[in-house]
Amino acid sequence: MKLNRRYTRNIRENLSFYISSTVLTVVTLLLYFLFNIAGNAILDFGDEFFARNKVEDAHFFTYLLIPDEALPRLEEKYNLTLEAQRYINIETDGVTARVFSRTKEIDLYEITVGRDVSADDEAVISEGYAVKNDIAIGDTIKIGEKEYTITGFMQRPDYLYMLENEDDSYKNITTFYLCYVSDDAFEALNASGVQYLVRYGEDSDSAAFRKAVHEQYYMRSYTASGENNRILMVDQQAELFIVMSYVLLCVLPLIAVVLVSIIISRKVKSEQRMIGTLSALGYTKRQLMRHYAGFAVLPGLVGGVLTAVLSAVFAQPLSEMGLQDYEPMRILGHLNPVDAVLGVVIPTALYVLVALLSVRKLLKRDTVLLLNGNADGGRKRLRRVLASRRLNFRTKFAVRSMLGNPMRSFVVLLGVLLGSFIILLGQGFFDSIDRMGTVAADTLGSFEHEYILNELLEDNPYGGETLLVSSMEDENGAAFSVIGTADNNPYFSPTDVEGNPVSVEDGYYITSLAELTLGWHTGDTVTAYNPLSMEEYSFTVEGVLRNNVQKAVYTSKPLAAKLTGLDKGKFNAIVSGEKLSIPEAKIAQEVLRTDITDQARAMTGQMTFLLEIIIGLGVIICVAAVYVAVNMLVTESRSNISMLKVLGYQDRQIDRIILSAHHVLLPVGILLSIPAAYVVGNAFFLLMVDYDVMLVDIYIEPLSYVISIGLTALCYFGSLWLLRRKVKKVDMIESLKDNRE
Amino acid sequence: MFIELKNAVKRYGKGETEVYALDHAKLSLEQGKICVILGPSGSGKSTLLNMLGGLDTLDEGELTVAGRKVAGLSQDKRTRYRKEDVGFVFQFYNLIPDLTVEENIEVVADISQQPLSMDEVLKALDIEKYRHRFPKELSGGQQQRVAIARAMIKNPKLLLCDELTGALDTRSSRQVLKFVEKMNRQFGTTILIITHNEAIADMADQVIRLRDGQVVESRNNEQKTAAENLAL
Repeated sequence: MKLNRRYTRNIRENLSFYISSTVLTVVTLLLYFLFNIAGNAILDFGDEFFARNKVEDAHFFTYLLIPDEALPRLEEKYNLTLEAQRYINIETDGVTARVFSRTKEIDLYEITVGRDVSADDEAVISEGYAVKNDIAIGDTIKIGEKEYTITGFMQRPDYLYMLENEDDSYKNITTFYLCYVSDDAFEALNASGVQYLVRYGEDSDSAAFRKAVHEQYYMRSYTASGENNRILMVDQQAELFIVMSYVLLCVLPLIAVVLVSIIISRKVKSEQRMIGTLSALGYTKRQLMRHYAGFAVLPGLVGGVLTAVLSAVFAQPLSEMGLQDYEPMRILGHLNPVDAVLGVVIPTALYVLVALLSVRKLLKRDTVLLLNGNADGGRKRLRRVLASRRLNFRTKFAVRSMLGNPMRSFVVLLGVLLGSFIILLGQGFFDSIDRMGTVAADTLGSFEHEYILNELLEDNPYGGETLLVSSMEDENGAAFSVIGTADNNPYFSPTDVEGNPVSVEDGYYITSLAELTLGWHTGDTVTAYNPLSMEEYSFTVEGVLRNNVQKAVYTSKPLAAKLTGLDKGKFNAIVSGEKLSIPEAKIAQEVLRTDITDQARAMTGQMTFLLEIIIGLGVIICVAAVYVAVNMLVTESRSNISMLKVLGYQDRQIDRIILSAHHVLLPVGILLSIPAAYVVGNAFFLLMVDYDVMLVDIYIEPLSYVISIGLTALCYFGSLWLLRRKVKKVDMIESLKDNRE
Repeated sequence: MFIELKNAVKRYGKGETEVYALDHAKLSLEQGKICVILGPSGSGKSTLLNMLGGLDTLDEGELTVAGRKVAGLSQDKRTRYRKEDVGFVFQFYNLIPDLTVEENIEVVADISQQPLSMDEVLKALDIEKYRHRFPKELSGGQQQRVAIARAMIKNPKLLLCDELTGALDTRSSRQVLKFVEKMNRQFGTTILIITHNEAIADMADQVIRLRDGQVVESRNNEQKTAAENLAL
C-alpha cells in the first residue's frame, strides 16, 4: 500500500513518542529479564555443580565413631551412600584452616584454578579465601608448623556459602578457609574430627536410618541439606532473584504495556479524520486496521529486540554481581531463546492488538463523524465542570483538560506512580533489611552475649541467665528451635501478637514466624520429632508470640526438657548483658548482639549497587512515562498552543497553561505509590519466608520518602522541561490550518 | 499611513521548487478603515495576513503597522506586537473547545493591558446569553461572533479576518459581517478582511486584489454598502 509510506514519515515526525515508548518497554522488560537470567543462571550452576560433585543429602556427627566395616552394612540396609570424612581445624596466626580428607562418593572438591596436589608439601585451598586475601598459585601458606605451596584453588558443594560454623549467620572468608593436602600429609596431621556424609536413594527410609544410627552410635547432630545454609543459600539467592523477577513482571512490564497501549489507542483516535477520509475513499476495514497496526509494531518490536540484546550483554555481569557472598561460582548468565522471543512477541502483540481494536471501534462510528473529528464523544458532560464558577480560566482549563481526557490523565498518573513506586520500593527493600538487624536483635532479646554450650550443665558458675535450647523437626522435616526460659529472665519480654506480655512458663508458645511457616495455630495439638533420635513428641500450642525472626517454640525449661527429651533441670545456653568468663572448650558458639546488626549492615552494603540500579531504572521509567504522557498532551493541544501563540502568549505563559495541567497528579501519584510499595514489599518478603528467611516488615525511612519524592518530582519536572522545546516548536500557522473545531 | 507594506517578498522552497508567495507586493491603508483583500487560492492572501499579523517574517521588504516596524522584529517582539496591536479572526473560529464562551474571551483579556469590558463586548456581539456555553454548543455564526469578541476584547489597533465567512451560510455571514462593521464603527478599529468572496468587497473602504503574490489592484470604494445589504 502506498499508504504505508506514512510509516517512516510519521515516525520521523513523532520520533520522541516512539523513542520514549520504546525506552519504557525496554527498561521495564529489562528488569524482569535480568533478574530472571541471574536467578536461573545460579540455579543451573547449583544443579550442575551439586550433581557433578555429589552434594550430600545430609551430614551428621556421632558421639561414638561408626566402625569402617559398619558403613557398607548401613548403606545396604537403608539403600543409601554413606561416607566418613575426617577433618582437623588448625589455627595459625588467627586464621583457621579446616583440612579435610578426600572423599570418593559425596561432597567431592573441584579444582577451579591451578592443579591438585602431587607432593606432601603442596596444598589446595578454598578460592574465596584466596581471592579475598590476594593469595596466588605458587605462594606458600603456613598451616600449623608446616609450610605448603599452593598449587590450586578449590570449591566443594557443601561450602559454596563459607560458614565456619553451621549456626553462623554470615560468611567468613577472612580468617577461615578449607584445605586439602596429599593423603600422606593429611595422615601426618592426626585429624581427629569425623563427620558422616550421606546421600539417600530413592526409597531410602531416612527416619529409620537416623534412628538406627542414634541408637547405636549416639547422634550428636544431624543436618539435612535443606537446613544447611552452606548449601541452601545458593538456591535461596537464585530463588530471591526469580521471585524478584516475577514480582517485577507482575508490576512493571504489565503497567508499561497498559501505558503504551493507552497511548497507542489515543494516537489512533487522534487520526480519526484520516481514518474517516480513508474510509470514505474506499479503504476497507481490514486495510485500515492493518495500516494502523503497523504503527504499533515499532515500539514493541524495537523494544523487545533491544531488551533481548541488552539482556544478553548484561546477563553475565549482573548474574555475577548477585554472588558476591559466595565462593566464586562459574555461572553462565545467558538469555533463554524462548524468553527472548516472548519478550519481543508479547509487547508487540499487545500493542498491535490495541491498535487493531481502536481502529475497529472507530470504524463502527459514522464516517461523517469521523470526518468531522467528532467520533470520540463522551466528553460533553465533563466540559460543564466549573462552567459557572468564578475561577481563572487557567484553572478551569487544567481541570477540564484532566477530567475531559481521563485516559491521558491516567497515563500521567500511572507514570508518576510507577516511577515513585519503583524508587520507593528500592529504598524500602534497603531500609527494611537495614532495620532488620536491629529488629532481629531486639526480638531475640535484650542480651549482648549469647553462649551456646557444647554440653548440658546443671549449675551455672558463670553468671547470666540460663536457657535450654534444642532443635526439632515437624512432620515434614522442617526444623524449628525449642527455647526453654523463665518468666523472670530479664533479657526476654515475650508478647502476644497484640503486644500484651505473655508468661511462657505455662505452656508451649510458638512464634508468629513459626505460625506462618509451619501452619500451626493456637489450640492445635502438633507432632514434632527429635532430629537425632527421631523420637516423636506432641504438644498443644498455647499461644502465638510476636516474633517474625525465629521459627521457634518458647516455653519453660522443664517443659522444653520434656519436649526435647533432654535432662530436666539442665541448661545448654547462657545469655548475658556482659561478656562472661566461660572456658572456650565449653562454648560451641558465641553470638554477639552486634553480629546480628553487622550482618544486616553487610547485606545492605552489598545491596547498594543493586539499589542504585533499581532507582536508576525507576528514574528512567518515570521520565519516559511522564514524557510520553505529556508529549501526548502537547500533541493533542497543538491547536490550542498555536492559538495561544497567535493571541500573543509568551512561550513560558503557554508552558504554564498547557504543561501545568497535570501538576495535581504528581502528589496524587506519589501518595498512591506509598501503599503500593508497602503492599508489594510485604508480598515480596512474605514470599521470601518460604525460603527459610525471617519475615521482614517493610519499612521506609523518612529520608527515603524525601529522596523518592524529590527524585519523582525531579523526573516529572525534568520531563516537562524537555517538552518545553516541543511546545516552542508548535507552528502557529500550520496547526491553525488543521483546526476544525 | 496606518499600514505601509513595501516590496514585500516571501519565498518558499529552494532552487527549482522555489515559489514566491509574495512577490514585491505593496499596499497602504489608513487607520480606522475596512479593507478587503481579494484573490484566488494561492494568490498570497493568507501569506499577506501572516505577515501583517506578525505570524511570519518577510524575506525582503518593509512593513510598518501603526508606526511600528514589523518586518525584522525578533520573535519576542512579534509576540508582543500580536499581544498589543493585533486581533485575529479565522475561518474555522479556532476557539478552545474546553473553555466556555466567556473563558475563551478571558484567554485574551488575561494578557491584555487595558482590555475592554467583557459585558460590553459580549453585548456588542449579542452573545451575552451564550457566555457559559461551550463552542460545540453554538452554531457556526455564533462561534464566529465569539471569535470576533475574543479578538476585540483587547481593543486591537488592527483586526485581521481570514475568510471569516468561509464556513458560514449566507444569513450567518451577513450577520457576522454586520458585527464586524459595528466593531469598526464602535471602537474605531482598522479591519482587514481576506476573502475570495467578491461581494464582501462592497462593504469595504478600500479593496485590494492579489494575484501570484502581487497587488494587481488597489482602489478606494466610494459607495460602500452596509453589510446587511450585501448580495452574498
